Amino acid sequence: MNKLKALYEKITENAALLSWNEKAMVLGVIFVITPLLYFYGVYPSLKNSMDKSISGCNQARVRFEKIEAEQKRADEMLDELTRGEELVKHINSLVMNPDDAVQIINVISELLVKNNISINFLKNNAQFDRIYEKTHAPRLESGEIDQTSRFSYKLLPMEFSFRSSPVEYLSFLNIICGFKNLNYNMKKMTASRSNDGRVDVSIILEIIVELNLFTQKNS
Amino acid sequence: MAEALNMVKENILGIDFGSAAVKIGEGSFSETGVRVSKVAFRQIISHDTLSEQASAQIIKEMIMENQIGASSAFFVLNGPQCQIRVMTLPKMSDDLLEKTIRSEIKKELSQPLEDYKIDFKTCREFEVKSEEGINQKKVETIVTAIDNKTISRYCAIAENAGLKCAGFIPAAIGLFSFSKKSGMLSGIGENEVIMFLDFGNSQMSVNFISSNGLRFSKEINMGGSALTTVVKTMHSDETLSVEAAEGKKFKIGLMAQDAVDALSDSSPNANLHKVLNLSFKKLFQRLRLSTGYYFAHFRDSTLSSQVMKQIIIAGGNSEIPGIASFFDDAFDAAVAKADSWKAVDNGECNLSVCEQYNLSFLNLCAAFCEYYTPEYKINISNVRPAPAKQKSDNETKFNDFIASNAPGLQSISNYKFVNIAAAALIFYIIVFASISVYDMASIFSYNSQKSAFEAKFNELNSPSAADERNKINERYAAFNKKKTAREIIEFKKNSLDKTLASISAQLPDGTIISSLNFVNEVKPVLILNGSAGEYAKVITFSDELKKNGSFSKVSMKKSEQKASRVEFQFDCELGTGKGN
Repeated sequence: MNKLKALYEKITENAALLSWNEKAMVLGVIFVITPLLYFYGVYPSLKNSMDKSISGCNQARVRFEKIEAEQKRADEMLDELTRGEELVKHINSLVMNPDDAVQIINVISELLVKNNISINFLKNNAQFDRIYEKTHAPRLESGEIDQTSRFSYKLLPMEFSFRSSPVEYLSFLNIICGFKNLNYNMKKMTASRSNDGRVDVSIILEIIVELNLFTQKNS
Repeated sequence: MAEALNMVKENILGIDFGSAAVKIGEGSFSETGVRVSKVAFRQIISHDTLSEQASAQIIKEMIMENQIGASSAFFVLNGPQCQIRVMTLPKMSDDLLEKTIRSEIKKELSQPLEDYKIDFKTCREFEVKSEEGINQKKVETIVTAIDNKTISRYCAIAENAGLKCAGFIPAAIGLFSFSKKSGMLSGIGENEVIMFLDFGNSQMSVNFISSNGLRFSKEINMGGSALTTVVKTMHSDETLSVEAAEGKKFKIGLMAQDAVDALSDSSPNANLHKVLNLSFKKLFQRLRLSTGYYFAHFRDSTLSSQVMKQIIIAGGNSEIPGIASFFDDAFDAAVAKADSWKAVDNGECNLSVCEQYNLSFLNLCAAFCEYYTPEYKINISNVRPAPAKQKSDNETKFNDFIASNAPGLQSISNYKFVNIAAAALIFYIIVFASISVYDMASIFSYNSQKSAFEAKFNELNSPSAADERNKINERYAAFNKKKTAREIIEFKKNSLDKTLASISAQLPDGTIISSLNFVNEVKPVLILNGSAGEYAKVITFSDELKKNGSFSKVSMKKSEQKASRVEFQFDCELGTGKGN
């Protein structure tokens, strides 16, 4: 403290030797030059550092928000997938194995026997050699194919051909239509009465045996 | 301070440090007046310039020898040590008066103003009538200017001598008090003055005292040493010390000019007297110039003229024989040697010393008179501090501007320059440091946030997390496609068995369906071919079919009479299953 006092006294004594103009100059330097030095010398580098920090922080935040949005979207998708598991199972069940066609034919035959319906089939088979593919490719407004909605599936036709009484025909039809959980498509059916009062029937059923979603991993 | 000291009335030592001798006296004040109880005198003419320590040593020795007990002392200043001016100025404010006095005294000082301690005292106020007949108020001030170095030197001497320096008293200031106390002014008229001539060794002083006080004071940087040098030089045939030459000077004395002129060149000491007279004439000429300046001042001024009534000569060199006659011849006034003890009681002193050095003690006695019975109360220890520098024109202009436009800011000038500068610097340091700290804190905060974001980003962007998201994306894309595909691959059921049963129920009598085709390509369509007995039956059947809820649209494609039957064909589009 004494040293400070002595220093103060010394400065005061020396300052007393300054002329008024010199004092004004010193005060001018303090009042004007000091702020100029700070604002043109020190502050720009400080501001530059702060701008860099702000810019770096903003970039990091944008990157983080982007990836955070991705993560949130992924979480939401996962939730939706979890909720849609039953639906997926159902959709998966719509696609059958080719072998299932034989079982269907067998089940129909068994049901006919079980219901005392004697139908002699002229044709009663799955046409494995006639499996064909259908592609669903909706177009965008621009006319291009919407690749995200494009998929294809393969259909296996099963042909039933027989001659029977109209009642037996309707009973057969009743059995076929009774498969509520079986995903089949009755593609074609013809029935014509003959002169003897019987009916010649030809029915083509189709089941989906393959679904191609054009994703990396087809299910 | 002098007033305060005066009230104490303690014994004090007065020191008159001349170039040829040191005179000291211990003074006190009693009901009878100023008393000097002990005096001492010591020649120092043989010494070269004395250092502060050597001077102090001399004083200590003199104190010891004379058993002086005073612990504080004042110094008597005379000649160029202290310049005294009597200034008559128009009446003005104190600030302006001080400014004017400083400006005026500056013209007469050989060194910068800040090297002096300046004090002044307004003695009296009076009115004079100008040439235009206007009354003007004037003030008369006594101004003293003392070199700081002199003050420092004497303070150091007092300190080294173990004395407290009580202040400095200019001898000229004390002469008025001395004159009053000694009754010298009793016979002096209003326009009459007494001239005190202090004929010292290295300097002379001329002071004019009137009944109103000190009227004029002038210092001359020449003195009796000039005559001593002549004596020493003119005795070149024998080696004379300065002390011896000084002694001879007082023995030889001065002869009247007529007597010197009458001296034969062959007579002994003729040349010495001629040169001595010539040298003294030079001194006398300087004295005449000073007195002439004084009287010319009054002659030219509007003040009343002055008449010199008496000349009092004092100082050691006034003892030189023949000096007084020179003044007698030159001036009309009565010439007398000073009686230093006229105003001071020296009953307890060594009277032989008092008598021997009577003329040398005048300044000391005058100082004692002023010390104890002050007329001017000027004591150099009490002077107002001189500003470090004379205010420049710029400063004056600035101060005037502030005074007229922003008087509130005048208080700022009370603070020292260093304080203002330091306050400004501290203010800036605080402001700039605050800005910097705030910015640094912001930078730190932003960097911390950046680090936090980057850490979270890295966590979410890790290969395992990214792989997991990719898998979810793929699964979700497949899921969406499946949902879309469901609309297509989940086949709608057309309950053809029930449809055919309902058609059978709607079939009119005599109407036969011969064949039916079901085509499920673009839309599920049931094509019915048959025949009826008449058209009405066909129409009835058509109406019935349209009523059938299984069909969304029923179109008659054929209705043709063949033999007795009407053949028909209906295309029935199956609906969305409302009838299923």
